[in-house]
Amino acid sequence: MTHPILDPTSRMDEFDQQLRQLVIAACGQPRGSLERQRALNQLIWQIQRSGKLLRGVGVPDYEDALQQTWLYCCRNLCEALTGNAYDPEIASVITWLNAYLKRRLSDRQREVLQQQAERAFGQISETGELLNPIDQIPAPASPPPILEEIREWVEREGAQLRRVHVRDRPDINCQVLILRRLPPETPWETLSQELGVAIATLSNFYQRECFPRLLKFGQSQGYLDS
Amino acid sequence: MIDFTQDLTITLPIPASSRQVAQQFAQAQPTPEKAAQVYRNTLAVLLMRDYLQMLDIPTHLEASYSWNPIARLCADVADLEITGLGRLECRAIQMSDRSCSVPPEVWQDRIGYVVVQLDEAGRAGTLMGFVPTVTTATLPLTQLQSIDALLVHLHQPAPAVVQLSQWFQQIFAPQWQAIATWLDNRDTNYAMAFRAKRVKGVTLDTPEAVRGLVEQLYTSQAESDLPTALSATNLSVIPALTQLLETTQDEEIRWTAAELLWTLDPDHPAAGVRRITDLGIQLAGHAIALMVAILPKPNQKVAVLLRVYPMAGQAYLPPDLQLVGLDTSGNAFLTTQARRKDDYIQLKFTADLGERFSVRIALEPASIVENFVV
Repeated sequence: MTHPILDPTSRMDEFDQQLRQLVIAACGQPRGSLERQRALNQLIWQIQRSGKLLRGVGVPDYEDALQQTWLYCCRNLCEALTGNAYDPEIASVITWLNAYLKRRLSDRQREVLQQQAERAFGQISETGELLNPIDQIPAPASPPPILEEIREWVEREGAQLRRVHVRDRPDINCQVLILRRLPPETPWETLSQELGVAIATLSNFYQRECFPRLLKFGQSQGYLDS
Repeated sequence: MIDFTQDLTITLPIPASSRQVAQQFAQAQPTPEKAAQVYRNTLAVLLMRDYLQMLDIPTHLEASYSWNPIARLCADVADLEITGLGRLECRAIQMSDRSCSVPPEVWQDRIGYVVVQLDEAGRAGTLMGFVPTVTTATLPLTQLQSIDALLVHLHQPAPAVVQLSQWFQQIFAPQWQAIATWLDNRDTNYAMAFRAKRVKGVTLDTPEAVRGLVEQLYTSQAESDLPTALSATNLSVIPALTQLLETTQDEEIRWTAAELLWTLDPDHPAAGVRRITDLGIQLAGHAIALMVAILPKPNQKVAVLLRVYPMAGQAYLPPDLQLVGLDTSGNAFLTTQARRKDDYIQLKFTADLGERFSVRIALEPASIVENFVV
């Protein structure tokens, strides 16, 4: 006979009990309320910390399946919004989520087998490591057209843009700042030293005068959002 | 009871769709450095979006600067518009970072800053915590508050901000009343005293007195250019004042001219907008009112006049009452203080359209703060 204190299930029970309490706390409050959000935040953290969710390092699209699972958890824990609502009488939260995650992973695997498509992301190096995707962004062959369009606009509207400047400093005007901050941009520190004006003064002026004009230009060119 | 106070971080996976968007945004950048910056910014914003979606907090990506191709090309922005609240800045850091850099272009116009730690492979990100405001370019991670505190922050009603630019379109919150309406609710003696046509100590009881003051204003200008019509007839006093309002470089002259115009023709469009609010008796039982007047100036600038009046039949302000103009960091940029027998105190300054400031009215230890955006 095992001594109750050494029983590994007793710790487990304590954890499940904690989660159950959080589920009650979350579901006792309406959707979108602060108290529901705080309880969900705590619940998600507790689940993560326990490390009890299925792991899938290197499993294709594991991240997508996991994020779907988190959303499923938050959407169906208290109300049946996208699936059946969670029933604490049937399973623990962890069991419920792992069952869903497993289904998503096998769905994905089927899709991958079907497509066998070459993926642009998360390629595996010869040593089997995930490559850093930032290193894989292809270098653009030429400056993007948008940059050229801004430069042309700044030239075209030069007189207008030069008229707007930092008080008593006509040399620090919209035209100069927009051009200096186009990538490859001059760091704010360098501009501050060069012009003898505090960074906050420059960046405030940029935010107030230059940025809105740039956005307005973008809007006129049809660059609304991607 | 559930303990919410412990410091917790939330780790979320980064789905392929997020990486694709980040890659697409990054590819449009002219340099590798800029591309890496945009890549990380986009991932941080999307991760935060995912988390807020889980918690039923609505966001509006398309309204965010980070989702505007021009904005992300020209500035280091990682904001996420939270519907109805404002921009939450999501700054990405690497695994080894112990602090987070906050570029100057995001020091303003944010409701908070979240730090997102991205793993090397761009497969997961951790919400490390948040701060409501930043005061330095580098934010040590030790200063972060928990994500739980962020949730509380998002539910706190933002301090009311009076939108002065709306005043030019005749849009006012109910507590900001027109002077005439406000005086209608006051006792007669008080209203009489307030209405007394006195400007710069001159009682404007005769046309000659009015003209005398207008001429005095003109001649006190550096380059006196008194319209010849003014000397000929009284009728041109008001055109003379409006011309003065438009041309003068001197703030004292501008406001005296405006005040003359308020006295002579309170509804004249060139007189700017003037409203008053009752601040009650929160300052040690002294009833006072705050008047704010604004006048449009060239180059998207606005002249602002703040004036504090005594109320409840009092002729004078309590001595030592302070009127302070504060910038967004809470630093005083203008201060004045009532002496014995001041019937009002005032501050004048020029602000840019969109600029924020606060007004602190204090009779130590009590104080009232009102927030404004021009």
